[in-house]
Amino acid sequence: MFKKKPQKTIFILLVILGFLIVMQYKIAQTGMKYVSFRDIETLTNRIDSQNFENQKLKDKINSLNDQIINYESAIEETGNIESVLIEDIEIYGKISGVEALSGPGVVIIFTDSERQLLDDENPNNLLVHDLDIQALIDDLVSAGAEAIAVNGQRVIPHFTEIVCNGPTIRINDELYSQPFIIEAIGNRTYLEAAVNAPDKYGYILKQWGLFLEVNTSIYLEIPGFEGYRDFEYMKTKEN
Amino acid sequence: MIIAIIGILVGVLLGYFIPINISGAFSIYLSVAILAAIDSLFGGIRGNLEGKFDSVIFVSGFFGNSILALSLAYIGDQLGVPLYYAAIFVFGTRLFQNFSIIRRYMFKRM
Repeated sequence: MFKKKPQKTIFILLVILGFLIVMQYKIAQTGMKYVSFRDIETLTNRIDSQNFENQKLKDKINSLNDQIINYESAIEETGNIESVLIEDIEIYGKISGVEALSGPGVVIIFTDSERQLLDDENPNNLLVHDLDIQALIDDLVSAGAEAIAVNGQRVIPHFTEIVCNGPTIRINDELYSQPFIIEAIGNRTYLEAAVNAPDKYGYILKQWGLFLEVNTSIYLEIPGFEGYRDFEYMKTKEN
Repeated sequence: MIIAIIGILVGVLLGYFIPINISGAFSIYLSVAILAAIDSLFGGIRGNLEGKFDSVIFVSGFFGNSILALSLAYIGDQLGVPLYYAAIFVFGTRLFQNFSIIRRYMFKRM
C-alpha cells in the first residue's frame, strides 16, 4: 500500500504535521503554560480541600441562621425566648458535663499487675500511673467518646485533674485507689478498639502486664460533675 | 515537493478551522511529537535524495518516533525527571545532520 503511492502517504503525514503545529500554536497563543501532572494533582487537591472548607462554613452559616429563625419564631409565638433558652441550657449542660447522662459505651477496669518483679526491674513498670489513665482517656476521646467518668467522677476536658497522689490518684479533688473504673459513652465498637487495638496505649499497658479489661455495655450511667467550679482569671473578652 | 507544501497547508488550515483546543497540560507532548514528525520528514527527504526512500520505514518512523517521544515525556512527568530532553536532543541533532546531508546533495545537483 505504501510502496505504490508514497506521495499519498507523505501527503497524509504532512497534513498531520501541519495540524499538530497549529494545535501547538493555538496553545501558545492562549498564554497557557506547561504544568506537570503532579502539580495539577496537588492543585486539584488543594482546591478540593478549600471547597470542602467552604462547604463546612456554609453549613455553619445555615445552622446559625436556623438558630436565629428559632429565636424569632419563639418570640412570635410566645412573646419571649424562654423555651429556646431552656433547650440551650440542656445542650450546654451536656457539653459542660454538669448533667448526668446515660447511653451505650464501655467499662474499663484497670489495676496494677500481679506478676512477679523481674530481677532489678523497676516496680513502676507494674503500677497504674496517673499518666496511664490520662492516655487511656485521650484514646477514648479520639475514638469519639462523648462522656467519660473515672470511678464515678466525670472527666471534663481542660478542667478535671488526674494527678498521682502516692498510692492513690486524685480526680476532681477526690482521692481514689485502685481498681480504677473508666466508663465512657460512645460507639461501643470504636471505644473497645481504642483500648484493645495493637499500638494503642491500652494494648501496650497490657503488654507490660498490667490488668486491663474492657467490657461493652448497652446502658451506662455517667454522673454529672458535682464539684465547685470557679474561674479566677478567665474573663469574657470585651470588644 | 509541491505535495509536501500542499500537505502542510491543508493540515494548517484543518487545524485552524476545526474548533478543537487541546489543554495546555499537553503542550509538552505536542511539541515533542512535532519535533519527532519533523525529524522523520527530514529523514524521508534525505532517504529520497539517496534513493533509499522506503514508505514503510518512513511511516513507521513517523509514528514510532512520536510515540516513543510521547512515552518518554510521560514517564519523565511521572518520575519528576524531564526525560523528554532526551527526545529533543536526539531529534534536534539528527535534524541538523540530515539537513546538512540534504544540503550537500542539493549542491552536488546544482
